[in-house]
Amino acid sequence: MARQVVAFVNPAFVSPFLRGTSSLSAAGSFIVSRHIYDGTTPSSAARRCVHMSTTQAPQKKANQGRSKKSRGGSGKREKKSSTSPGLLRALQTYEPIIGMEMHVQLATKTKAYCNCSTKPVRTPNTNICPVCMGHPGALPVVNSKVVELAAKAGMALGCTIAQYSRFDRKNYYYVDTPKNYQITQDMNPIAQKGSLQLASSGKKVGITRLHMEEDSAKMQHEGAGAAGRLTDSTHSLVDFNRSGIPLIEIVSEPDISNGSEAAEYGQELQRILRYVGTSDCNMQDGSLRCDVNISIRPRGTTNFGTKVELKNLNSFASVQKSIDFEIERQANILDDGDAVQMETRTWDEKANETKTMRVKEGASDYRYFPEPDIPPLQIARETLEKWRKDMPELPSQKRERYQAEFSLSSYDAFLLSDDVTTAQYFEDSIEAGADPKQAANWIMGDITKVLKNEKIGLRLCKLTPKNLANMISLIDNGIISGKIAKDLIQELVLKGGVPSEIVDERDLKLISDPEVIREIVAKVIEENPKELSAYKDGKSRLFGFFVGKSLAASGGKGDPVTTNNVLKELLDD
Amino acid sequence: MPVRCCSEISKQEVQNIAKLAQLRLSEEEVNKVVPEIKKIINFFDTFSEVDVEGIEPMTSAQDVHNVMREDEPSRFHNVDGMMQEVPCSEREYIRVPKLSSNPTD
Repeated sequence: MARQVVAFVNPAFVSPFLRGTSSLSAAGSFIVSRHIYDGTTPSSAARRCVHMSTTQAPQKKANQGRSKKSRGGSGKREKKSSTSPGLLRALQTYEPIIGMEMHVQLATKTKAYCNCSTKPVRTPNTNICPVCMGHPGALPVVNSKVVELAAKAGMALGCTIAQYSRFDRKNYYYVDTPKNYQITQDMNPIAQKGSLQLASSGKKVGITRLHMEEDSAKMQHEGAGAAGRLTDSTHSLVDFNRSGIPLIEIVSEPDISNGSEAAEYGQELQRILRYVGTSDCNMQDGSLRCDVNISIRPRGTTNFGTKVELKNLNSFASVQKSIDFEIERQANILDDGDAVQMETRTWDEKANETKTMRVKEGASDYRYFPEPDIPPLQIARETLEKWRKDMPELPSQKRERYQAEFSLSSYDAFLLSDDVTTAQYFEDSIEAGADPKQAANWIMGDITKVLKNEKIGLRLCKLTPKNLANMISLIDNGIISGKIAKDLIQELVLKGGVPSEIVDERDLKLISDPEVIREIVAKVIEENPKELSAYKDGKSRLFGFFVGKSLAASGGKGDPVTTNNVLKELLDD
Repeated sequence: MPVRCCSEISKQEVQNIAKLAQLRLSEEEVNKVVPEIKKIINFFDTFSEVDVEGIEPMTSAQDVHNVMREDEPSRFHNVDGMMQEVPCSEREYIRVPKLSSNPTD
């Protein structure tokens, strides 16, 4: 059994290397310590809330946005949370059953069933052809890269890959579906029965299936005062550039129990798929879309409650907030003795609540049947083995290895393995001889700071992993001081250069000759008679003043240890 | 998987099927069509005389697999021609009347 990550890692900490594309960047630390959702061991905060709420009338609206400090707790650092007492009370009584459905656009050059480009363009209806426009007589031909990426994604998620798989027609009429059916996989998906592990708790969330399908056209609802909403619109504008873009749909088992687990599942899925090159997986540009299915049932019972679908979730923060809101909303309904209505709801970011989108009148009949225009796939075992060999080390494997091999903390391991570029840089610098802990500190600390200031990513960093290793060895061997390295780092990152060469050229070597230090220190003492007498009178804190002045006088090149010793000699005699 | 044949074709069923196919039938037409559909379904019911236990349903008359293409983009030579046939366009978008919110309506 693989070693689990034991310490709690707050996945809300944004990797410094996720540039503005991170969907979590604005969320702040809203994810609460996991034990509060456990239900079996209520924190004192939850108990206090139960008492309070018996005198409160059931609320229609959740107290979202009002932060309460989590009282009690595990002794870990207290995080400011936005858990309302209503939610905590709901979680005491009810068990949420949550499943997630993700749609991911594959990183191919062409569409799923035709040669049209998938490159984003400004002008609508340019990357189109009779196939993706659904013109009569047009025939779909499967893109081989789609199959490869789908299979690899399935492998990365621990799924069994079907050697035999097949496409089916899902029949319905809607403007964004020009053929009046979507070519998808119903009966024989390419991958099934996988799982992924949440970084913070080690909890395994099952993955039911992963299958290939095509995206629909993009619609803009217009009309006076429509604000993009269908209900108020007078007409719609359709762009078929998106029609036919290959998707994989990933369906999870209903193993998720609360909003923060759902957000974490989404982030780990995003991380894994970015690692294996399946997709950019950006929620902002639509390459990753997330739907949630949620129901609740009284704890201890086994019957499933009525399922509500949540759509239009644009970030992981929305996923978490909408789920937390829904849990409370459904709990309040059940507390009142009413029944939850089966429906699709949308998340309203401004109002911080879920709203009805449409009520489901029973399941739709899509009359699935095998797609006659596409012969089934029979993937050879050799092909599958080759694809398996192509798989890189996954984030969870890297996290474990970094902790086991390099003795990094789970937090550091998590940050460094968050994206492939960072992990690669880190590993390359170790290859070049850098000490892992120091490399980790430089990468996550000063290097990130400089990059962030310039708003560039690690790819544009001019300090190569090899030169980082060089710099670290200079420090380790006492050739330069840590301070000099810190002074140089901005230039190294933005302009590049070989540290050892720069040190030689500019004479930045560490001065540890006690004689030279003595000269510098003596001069400093001479120049500061007031502080000297204050120190002799008993203000021993001024020792630090002298250290600082001496190091500055040496141009930052003085060896701190020698300086300290010499100062002690001269001041205390 | 055993082949299931519904020989119980009710008027309700037929109306459902018509709705799914986006066909509007009058009361008269429905009444006329129900026995005809019954006949067709019963004809296919002869399949249930065959024991197909353990046999996968046929998907194609051809024993072909893996018909795929390379992931190389190419532009369709007559995009303008396709867009000219659009009944109503607005700023290079295809304009359609207000939609119902239910995809299966």
